[in-house]
Order: sequence, then structure tokens, then C-alpha cells
Amino acid sequence: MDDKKIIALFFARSERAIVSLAAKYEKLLYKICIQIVEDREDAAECINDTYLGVWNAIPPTEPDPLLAYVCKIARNVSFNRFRKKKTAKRDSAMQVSLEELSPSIPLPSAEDEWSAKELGRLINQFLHTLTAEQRVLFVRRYWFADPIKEIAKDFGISENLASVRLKRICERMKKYLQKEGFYL
Amino acid sequence: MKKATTEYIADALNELEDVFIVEAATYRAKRIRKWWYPMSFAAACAVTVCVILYGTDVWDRNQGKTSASMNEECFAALDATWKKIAWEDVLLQEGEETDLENKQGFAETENRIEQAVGNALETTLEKEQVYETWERLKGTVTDCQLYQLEGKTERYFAVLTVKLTEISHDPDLIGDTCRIYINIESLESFPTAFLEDETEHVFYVTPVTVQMGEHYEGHWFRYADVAEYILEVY
Repeated sequence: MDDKKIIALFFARSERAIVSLAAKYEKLLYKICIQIVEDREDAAECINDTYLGVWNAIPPTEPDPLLAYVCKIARNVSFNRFRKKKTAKRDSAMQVSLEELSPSIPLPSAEDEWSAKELGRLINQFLHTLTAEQRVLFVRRYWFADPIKEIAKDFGISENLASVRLKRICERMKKYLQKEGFYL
Repeated sequence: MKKATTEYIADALNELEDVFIVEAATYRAKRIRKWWYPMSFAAACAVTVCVILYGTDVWDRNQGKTSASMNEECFAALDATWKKIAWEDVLLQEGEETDLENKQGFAETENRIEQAVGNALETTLEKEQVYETWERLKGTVTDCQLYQLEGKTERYFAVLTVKLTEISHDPDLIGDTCRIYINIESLESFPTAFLEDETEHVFYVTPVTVQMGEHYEGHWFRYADVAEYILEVY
């Protein structure tokens, strides 16, 4: 179903809205949630919380694109659950991918602190300088936390090659952040 | 309390633009056609052998000259050679459907070459980074082309098609046909070469780190020598 029709169902407060949303995006949402919480039950609950969040937000919000909107909610909900859970694994797929990225983005000093929001703005700017393919590699690895193996398979390249390309993108990002005055 | 680095990054990534998320979620990697394969039978023998002979002839005629003057002469000779046997001419010999496909593939490849070369010219990598990726590369050069960068008359780059026989970085690639790009202008100082895999995705950019020596100077255009040179340096 077209996203606009799904949104229209939310506006009409139709129960079919959730069903349609799930039919279209549940697989992707599950993938996002499971990479973060690494527990099926938790992932299922995160998805339900995502649907609830979307239900509460639409209306009045009319997201465009819907896909990014629901993905972001799912990611936030999952992160919140992950952080609250005392027994959370410290080696979840998302954690591993973020740690992989962290050498390229050290914490700023206290006196020259950059907010995460500002860093996010710079990362967005940097991503605009990449080719579509490089961007997708980056986003799939560090936003969706997709495993290298899966990314390599989808791109038809070896895992080693995917790792090298990601590493080079990170190196470029590090230089970009330095150039923009980000403390390193 | 100071956030953990990963949390900080996770928060930053929350700011990711919607368009990137949609792009990544819906992206399907393009498998570019191996456009040079259909040409190999029709063109490889005639084109490659011709250029080998031509290059060899240029080399023989230029024995003893200074490398600088010889470079100019060889550039001009090779450039002229390649202009005579433009790929489009070869492509026109194909059937209509194939021709169309090849042309699209060719155009895409050209774009990628230009973009990749532009990137390479601007890229300055640390010497040691080479060794983080791979240390050795061997193969057989099956094709060589010389390009002149648009708007940059002094800048040329050579494109070598190489069938890999050894690659320390990624043994999975052995047997694959790759292409190596060489920025000619900077070759004598700190050259940049980069390699594409068979799907034509640029995956490797690195400067060649060895010093230019007698082995190289003056005769690298004979692409057998180029191959020998390139394949030895990594």
C-alpha cells in the first residue's frame, strides 16, 4: 500500500492503519530493533511501541517519508530499551558497529563541546559529499547496524572489501570533521 | 556525566537526514555489466596487440632519450593510438541491442572513471595506509588505455585491465579482472593508483609508495613494463 494511503488510514483512526504499516515495514523494523536489543521478545515489544508511537503521532504529524519516520522511532525505542536494560549485552550488533565508528569520532573536549545534534549535522553534510553507494554502505553499517557479511553480499563484494571501503569512508569523515573544526 | 562515546555517536546519528535512511533502505546495488567482455574477442586481439607493438616500437625508437622528452613523445603516440581505436567504434560493431547496453555501460564507466580520477587527484593518503590494505598485487595486463582529463591538458591517466593472479589483501579476487588507474602527472613523485573490482565499484585508492628507479623511468608506457612495475610495487 502507498505510504500516503497508510497515513490517511492513521488520520481516519482506522485499525487498518497499523495492519498496513506492519505489512509494509515490519520486516525492516524488526531488523532495526533486533540489531540493537538482540532479543526477539524485546524486538517484538519495540515494534509494538513503534506502532503505538506512530499511532499517537499521526495525526497531527504527517511524515514524509513515512519509512524514515517509522525507522527513526523504532531505532529510538530500541535504544531506550537497550539502555534501560541492565543486563543488556555490550556486544550487540549496534554496539559493535558504533564502536567501529568511534575512532573516527572521539569525544570533544569539555571546553569545546559539540552537541550530538551538531555532530549529526556535520555527518549529514559529509554524507552529501559521498556517492550514493558510499552513503548506503555507511548508513547501512552505522545506522541500521547491518552486518558486514550481509552488506557485502548485497553489494556483490567480499567482506574484506566492504570493510576496507567502510574504513576509507570513516577516514574521510574524520578528515572532514577535522576540517570543520571538530575537536580531535 | 559524560556520555559514553557510542551513545554520543548514536545520538548524533539520530539526526541523520530522512533521505539517507530511505536511500539505504531501498538501495539495490547495481551490478554493472562487464562491458569489456563482449569486446574482448572482437577487439582485444586487434587493439591490444596493436598497442603492444606500437608501444614497443615507441620504446625502441626512444632508447637513450631523456625520460622527460620520451614521456611526451610516448604520451602523444599512445594517445593518438587510442584515439584511432576508440571504444565506440568497437561498440558499433555489436548488434543493436548489445550496442545500446554497451554504450550505457561505457558511459557509466566513463563517468566513474572521471569521478574516480578526480577523487584520486585530490586524495592524499598517508604512506603507511597502503600497507593496511594490501602489500602485494600480481596479475596479467590484458588491456591498457590512455586518457586525457577533460580541461586538464597536462593530466593523463592510464587504465590497465589486469587479471589478478595474486593479491595479498583479498585472495577471493584472484582470477578476477580488475582495472588499475594511474595518474600519470604525479607518477614520478607520489603517484596514485586505484583499482576497481569487476563490478566496477572503486574499492581501493592508494598512492604507489616506491621510489621511481631505473626500472621505471622512460619505459613505463610499454605496458608490459607498466604491469611489471605496478605489480611489483605493492
